[in-house]
Amino acid sequence: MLTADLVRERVRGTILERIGGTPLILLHRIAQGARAELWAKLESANPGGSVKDRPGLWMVIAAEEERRISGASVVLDATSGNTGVALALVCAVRGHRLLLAMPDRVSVERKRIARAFGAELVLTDPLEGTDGAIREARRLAERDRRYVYVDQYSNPANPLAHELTTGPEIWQQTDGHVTHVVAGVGTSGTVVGISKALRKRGVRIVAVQPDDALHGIEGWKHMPSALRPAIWDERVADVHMTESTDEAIAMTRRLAKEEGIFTGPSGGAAVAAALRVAKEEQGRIVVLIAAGSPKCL
Amino acid sequence: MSVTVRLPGALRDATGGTTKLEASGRTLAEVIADIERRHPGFRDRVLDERGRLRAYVNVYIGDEDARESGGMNAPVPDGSEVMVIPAMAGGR
Amino acid sequence: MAVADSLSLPHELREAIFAHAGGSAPDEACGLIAGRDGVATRIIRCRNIAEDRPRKYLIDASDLRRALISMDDAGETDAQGTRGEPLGIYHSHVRSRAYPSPTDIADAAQWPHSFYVLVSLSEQPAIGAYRIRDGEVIPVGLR
Repeated sequence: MLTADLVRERVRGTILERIGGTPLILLHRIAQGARAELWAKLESANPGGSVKDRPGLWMVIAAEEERRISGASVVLDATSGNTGVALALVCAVRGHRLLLAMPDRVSVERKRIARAFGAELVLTDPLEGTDGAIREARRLAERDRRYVYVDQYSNPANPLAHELTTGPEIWQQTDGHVTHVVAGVGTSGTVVGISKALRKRGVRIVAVQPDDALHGIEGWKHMPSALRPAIWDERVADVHMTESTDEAIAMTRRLAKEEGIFTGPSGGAAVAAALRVAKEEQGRIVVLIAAGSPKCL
Repeated sequence: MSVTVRLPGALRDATGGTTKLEASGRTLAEVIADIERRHPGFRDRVLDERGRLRAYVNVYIGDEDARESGGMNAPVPDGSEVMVIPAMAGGR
Repeated sequence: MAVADSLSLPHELREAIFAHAGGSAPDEACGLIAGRDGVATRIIRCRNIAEDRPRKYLIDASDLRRALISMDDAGETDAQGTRGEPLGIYHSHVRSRAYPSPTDIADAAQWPHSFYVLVSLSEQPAIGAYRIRDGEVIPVGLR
């Protein structure tokens, strides 16, 4: 079983050491007048730019520890988002080949980032979307044993990374005074893992999803209509909230103007939900901002 | 020959904010010239240097596309409605 | 004049736009969104008469004219509150994300007072709403 110490040991002296240990920032202005304190955990501070660096690292180290990766292996996953960047970063440092399955697209920026880290891409039929990329990854993994399909939607190392790093960091950074954690649901690894670490310590877990199947919040899932990740379980959260794309975008503007924090709609949506909680309840609320940079705006 | 000309929001600034105005002329060219007299600069927004309708500008006289009834020489019957409709387009 | 900076687009209209997009693939689907005070109440499917329909859209001008007249008759308004102008213009990207392309941005100069709603058949998130002014894309909220 992976432990935080073991992972730390494996990556000592490399940029991967910088994964995790992200800052907690008090949102002074946004939460003015609220009953609770609102703190944002800035996952954009990770070297790959997002919270995905954590499960990206843990899934690869887990595969190494399980002896699933040899010299001929190729790490594989279906993703065009932040997980792809995280895996590309980790595999570059660990010296593994990486193949990312993603739907074909015009925008070259993500392709460029992945290739800059040395990843190879297989571009799938755009009409089949992410599901098409997932099917292709499964097909490749079944046919050729060199592929190590890490599968972020089903891999227990994903929530484990959060259970053993993100959760404990929040506890330590708040001296045990955290009362609520608010996070969006994408693969659900963050919510599932943090719940495992902190619910037993009396922390309330708030999971946030988009309010509509057709939404503009990148990285999040409207669970009732989406392909359900194997790792997700609604019962890990005490409260389920939804946010609209409208509230998400409005809050991203406030975060930039009032707190100097750049994030995309998922960060805005999480903070919008957390602010609603902060207005109702007392305590110390930590909200996860998964990614963000000035390019978001 | 008096006609009503309806303009899209995109051309509002060329006519001081008006999107519906009266104009006179027997052909499309005359109607445009009439509007230009009152709102200098309007002509350049809808016609190119050679005096032809810009590619992205459609003009309807009643329910006929002006390009199909003579272009700049299209007759504009008294009391008709001339509608300027820019192209609505895009791509990936 | 009310200036709407976010678009209320009910679920049924999002579904209808998405269905139009799916049914038109591999061609791009296009149409108008009508409403008032920033609240969409109906969509108007239009014909795409571009030469290269999988990569471009051009709304049939007679469809557009009929739609504008009906919006004027119904008292429907654009994002600036002007009567008889479309609240929104929607189209689909079959192979790319729901974000305005350089072509979208350039062509939006002809209709600066509408919301631009894009849906993607290949990327998540599947829908996005924007204002496009002076060559600049401003994401706006959807409620």
